[in-house]
Amino acid sequence: MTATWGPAGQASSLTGFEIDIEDFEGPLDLLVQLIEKQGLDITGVSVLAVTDQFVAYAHQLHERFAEAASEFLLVASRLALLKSRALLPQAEPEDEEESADDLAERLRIYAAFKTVAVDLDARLRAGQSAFIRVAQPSLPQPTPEPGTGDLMRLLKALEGLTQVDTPVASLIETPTRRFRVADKVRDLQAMLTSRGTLTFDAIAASCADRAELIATFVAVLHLVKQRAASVEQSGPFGAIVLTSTRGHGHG
Amino acid sequence: MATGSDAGAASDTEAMADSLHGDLGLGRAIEGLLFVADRALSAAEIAGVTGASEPEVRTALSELTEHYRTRGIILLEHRNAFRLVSAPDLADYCRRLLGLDQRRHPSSAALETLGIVAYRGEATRAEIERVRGVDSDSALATLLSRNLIREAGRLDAPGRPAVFTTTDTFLAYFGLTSLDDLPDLDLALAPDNPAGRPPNV
Repeated sequence: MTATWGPAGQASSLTGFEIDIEDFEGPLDLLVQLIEKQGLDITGVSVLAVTDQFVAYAHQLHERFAEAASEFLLVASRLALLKSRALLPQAEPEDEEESADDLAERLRIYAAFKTVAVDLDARLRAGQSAFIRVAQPSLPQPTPEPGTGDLMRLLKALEGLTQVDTPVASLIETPTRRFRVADKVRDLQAMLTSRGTLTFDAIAASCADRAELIATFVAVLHLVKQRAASVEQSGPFGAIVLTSTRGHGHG
Repeated sequence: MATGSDAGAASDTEAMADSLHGDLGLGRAIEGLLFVADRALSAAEIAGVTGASEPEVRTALSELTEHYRTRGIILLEHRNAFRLVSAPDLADYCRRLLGLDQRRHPSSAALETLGIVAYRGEATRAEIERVRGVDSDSALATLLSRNLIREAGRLDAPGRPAVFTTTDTFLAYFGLTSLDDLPDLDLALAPDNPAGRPPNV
């Protein structure tokens, strides 16, 4: 409900009350606040005493935030009925209908839980939580900072990826194989459809040479950009896992 | 206890119980069990493992609670189940170690809802909304996602509504060692809970 209140800081200056819309939620909350601002205890009498303010407020709220105001109008109409009964005592209330005292009892219970909420909030502000030993998340991995990485390690990784491309003196001039990104996209999609997930290492290992590797890599980026696949890495230097976002086995 | 192997296991447990009463000490055994457990243990469960009686286990647990009162770990009790947690005043260090951000506090709507569940012991969404007078769906979703409450079951009523109850994470999160640490409410909240006490069962 709080999210539907609209702009912050809107205040009502009805009947001398300054009530910030952000400060309460729900009709019971408003009623409790109106009663407390009058310095009254929560009783059936004080509930009726703030009826006019509440009804006026509910109407004003209704004009501004129709959706959020319906619950307020419901309570407002109930209050108006109760008040009219109090003013005209000969009108016998029906048994199953709520009386002002019932409403006061609900407010009293609600106000008690508001004090519980305040107490819990104070505990959080004191910042004293206990921690369970196996609590998630696990100890954080130190993240390697850019620039402090090992250059040799990086080169080795690159070498590992491209070692398929060891230049061999060729006796016969063979035509360069060409790879189209679009073909690779289709291949990857087919593999993802049948398997669901692929590791980038496996994809790289399936490439015959550097040109194919590059085309495949661009295809991976393309799939991610199209949101056809998502990539995840569990930690620094961990395996990069490509997962189909469209499920697998049926498509 | 009809088969021979059961009888053998029983006498094993008796032998273990004897050694607990000797040099080992039941408290030390419980301490070890709580240390390796990845969840809260009930007194009955500890009694079953150690062969000690449940009253003996309860006595040992309350001695342990006292013992831990000044230590870096404390014994947390939630609805008759026990587990070891860090002392609440060490929260800042723990948060730093675990790499946790300063927490975003739950909204007052979520805290009111949590209070209702904690004091009532169990509550359905309709019961919570009856008290609060507003839709409490998002408050419940927040509490569930933070594991402060859980679904304890379904009510045998039309629509089979979910019944929510607090978790021991709730106690730990607020630095409480037991539901008894919550202040008394001077209200008759429910017919089965007239004292306004959170039921610790």
